[in-house]
Amino acid sequence: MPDHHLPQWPGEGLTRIPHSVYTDEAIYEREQERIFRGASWNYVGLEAEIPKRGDFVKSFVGETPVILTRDAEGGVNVLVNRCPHKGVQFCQEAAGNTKTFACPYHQWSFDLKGSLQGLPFRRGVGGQGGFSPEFDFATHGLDRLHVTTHRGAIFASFSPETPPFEAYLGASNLGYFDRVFDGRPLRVLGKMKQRVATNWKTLVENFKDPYHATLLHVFFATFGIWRADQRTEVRIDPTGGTSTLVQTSPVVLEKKRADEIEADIAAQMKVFKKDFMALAEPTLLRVLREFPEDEDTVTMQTLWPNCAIHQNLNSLGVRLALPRGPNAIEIHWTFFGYESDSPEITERRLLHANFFGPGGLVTGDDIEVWQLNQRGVRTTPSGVCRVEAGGSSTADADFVITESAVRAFYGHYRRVMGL
Amino acid sequence: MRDFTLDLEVQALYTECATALDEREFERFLACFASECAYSIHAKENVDRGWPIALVSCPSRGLLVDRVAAIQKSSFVIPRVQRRLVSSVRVASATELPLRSQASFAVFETFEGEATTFFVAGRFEDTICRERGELKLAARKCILDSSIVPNSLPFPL
Repeated sequence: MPDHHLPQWPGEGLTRIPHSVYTDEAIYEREQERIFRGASWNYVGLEAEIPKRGDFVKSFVGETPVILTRDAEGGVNVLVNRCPHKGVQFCQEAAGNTKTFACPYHQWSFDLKGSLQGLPFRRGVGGQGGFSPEFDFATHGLDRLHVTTHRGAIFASFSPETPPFEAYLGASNLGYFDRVFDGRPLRVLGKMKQRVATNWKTLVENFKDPYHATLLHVFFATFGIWRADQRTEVRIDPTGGTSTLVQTSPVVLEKKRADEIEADIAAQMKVFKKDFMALAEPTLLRVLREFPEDEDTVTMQTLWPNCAIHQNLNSLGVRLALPRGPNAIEIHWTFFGYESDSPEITERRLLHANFFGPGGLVTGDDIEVWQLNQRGVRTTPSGVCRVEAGGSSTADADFVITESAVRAFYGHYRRVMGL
Repeated sequence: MRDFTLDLEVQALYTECATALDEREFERFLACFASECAYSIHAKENVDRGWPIALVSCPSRGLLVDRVAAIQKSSFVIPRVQRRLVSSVRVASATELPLRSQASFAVFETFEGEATTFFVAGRFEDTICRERGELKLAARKCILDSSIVPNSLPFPL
């Protein structure tokens, strides 16, 4: 039943996206309630970030600040960073190791599972004041989220109704997730964070849109990453919320001699791009083989609602588009490899991180365009986006010029939001 | 009395490097670096936790040249003015080369039609050598005071 307080979806359906979904405060509030505090598995971090008992790291579920902890039994907990007494955001360190958390205001203390442990002056002073003998410690702990871990990745949900993770992703998308999270212990290589004046869905859509890549990312063509034999597949889960973009590697593997590769690229590039340039340092685009069964494949996966995972060149990373009001996001990137990585492949992962993040040779273009996108939709909240590449399909595709995964995402979005 | 000749020479190198970027003259920027060099930008959190990832990582001169070429030929960037202030230069050993030096930096940004905003601050940790009579940066690490960056880092710092 559409809510008359919220903007209406255009009659054309999923080939239109009303600008108001990127700008409207009431829609934003409903997203927080139904999506981020609803039946979603929100990526919050990697188990490798909290390997030891007592380890903690801060993260977010939508707007809500949370703390990931490894408790005394080795379990993973996701706790809201807010004291149940007065609401103080008590944990100020980004990460650390502890046995308890204490709120600085009145020294209420909590264990790694969020249970209230200590309450100073519980019996008052000199027999006066303090708390009633009936004061119930059990109902005064930190808010605890439901947690699921899958091969080293940690997800949290406010809702007990969230389906099991495997079903949540769907079979084909679980396969692409497990391709990267293949069970090998992970090693954190570092984080990148940036604040961007755009809406969180703009980042998600961008990852679902193969149409823009060759047009916006001139780097690909300028330096010969573009390949005539590049193949694209779009694989969408049954709900439409999660999808994977699969492309044959646009890079050249180290299976030929360097001069043969350069000659190959030059021959291809001469056909369509006159200002093709050779790199001074070709290793920037040279991949060490690590997925032997499908060595040419790169994947870019978006997990409903706001998480994206890339496996591109030798870079592996997960990013979150954290909403900060309708018009801003924080992007939190975590780059990782495997504990078993050789020094050579770690070096390549660090090198290939040059394509991603705030200084990314490729993602830098996206970030600039997303800001311009938000400037445009803010000034015309009654306008619509026209999403017609590949027709009106919301199905899997095996070609580049399609926005089917974007339409599928909004199909799921409309159901969850009741729009 | 300490001989400040070398300090002044370092100061001149820093001024040249900062103004070359402010003025978007990337050949001048590259000319501030030695024939063998490294350049990187690091967020605070990664430095604090000992994580190796860098926001920008150019472990060789070739990679710095490629990044400059990418900026010039292929990146889409919203037009802006950047203004770099480099101050509090600390030359660790002013007598021997290569020398170690640090400085504080602040960068302001101005987008077309908008007021000037503060962008990032941090410190340079440099190794400086002499080539053909002139001081050059053999390695520059730019370490940000923050873990989070406003928007993007389209240009070197």
